[in-house]
Amino acid sequence: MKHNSEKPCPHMKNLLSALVDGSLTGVARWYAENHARRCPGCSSAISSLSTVRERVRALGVPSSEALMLSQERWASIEAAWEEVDQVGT
Amino acid sequence: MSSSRQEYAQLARGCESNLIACARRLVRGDDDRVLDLVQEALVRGYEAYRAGKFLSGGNPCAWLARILTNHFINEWRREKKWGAGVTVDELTAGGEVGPTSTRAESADTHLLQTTLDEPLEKALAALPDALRLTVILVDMQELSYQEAAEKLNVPIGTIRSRLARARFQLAEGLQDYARERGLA
Repeated sequence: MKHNSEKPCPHMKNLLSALVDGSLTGVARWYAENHARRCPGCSSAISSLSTVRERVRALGVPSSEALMLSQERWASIEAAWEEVDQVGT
Repeated sequence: MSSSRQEYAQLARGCESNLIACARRLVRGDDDRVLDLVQEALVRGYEAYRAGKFLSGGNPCAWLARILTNHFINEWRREKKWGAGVTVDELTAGGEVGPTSTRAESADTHLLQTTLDEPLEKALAALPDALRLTVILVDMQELSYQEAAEKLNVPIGTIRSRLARARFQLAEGLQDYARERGLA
């Protein structure tokens, strides 16, 4: 069956994803790399998946983050720490 | 107050916003639950800290985030759908799609690189729980496939397929976002 060259081949998706995080080794890696060299859809998918993975890994604390622990919650946490100290000593 | 508690309290306060961000990604849209998770993690973290489980020189926020995530996964596995007759396929449904763009590779990649973090956070939040958790464990907390499989109590092959589904969905989510705003 001829596959739409603009999309990744469905049977390659798990391999391409494993290729971008370096978990694919041996013959499977050779096969995936070889296939991608001849397949524009899979080659493009490797590029997209790599970018997405790097972006996810770089996610930090959102600048709009406004949620904080209240003073009451901190007081409860400190009381729990005190309890841990008492049990542990 | 003991000196180890003073040290830990300083670490804990310094990690508050990181832990809230981590809990938000796990919980999605329930602020009270987010704060409960952070609170619980800080208490469990102190028990572990006293037991000498935090290695000096390590990243305390990453360490506490792992404690928080472990606690969340334990709750999730206990409360969630495994016992309610829902299969893994149902939990991870919706992932059988790849990038739909017909544009050139360089255009898509550029688009993914330049889209802001907010739509990425939204795309992450839109993933089904099982996929989101897998991405958080492997891509954000840098667990191996084997470690993630043990934590989630699934085979390694399931981790591999969940990651693929999640990453393709995230890429598509960002591309959709950019197209909707005329960036693509």
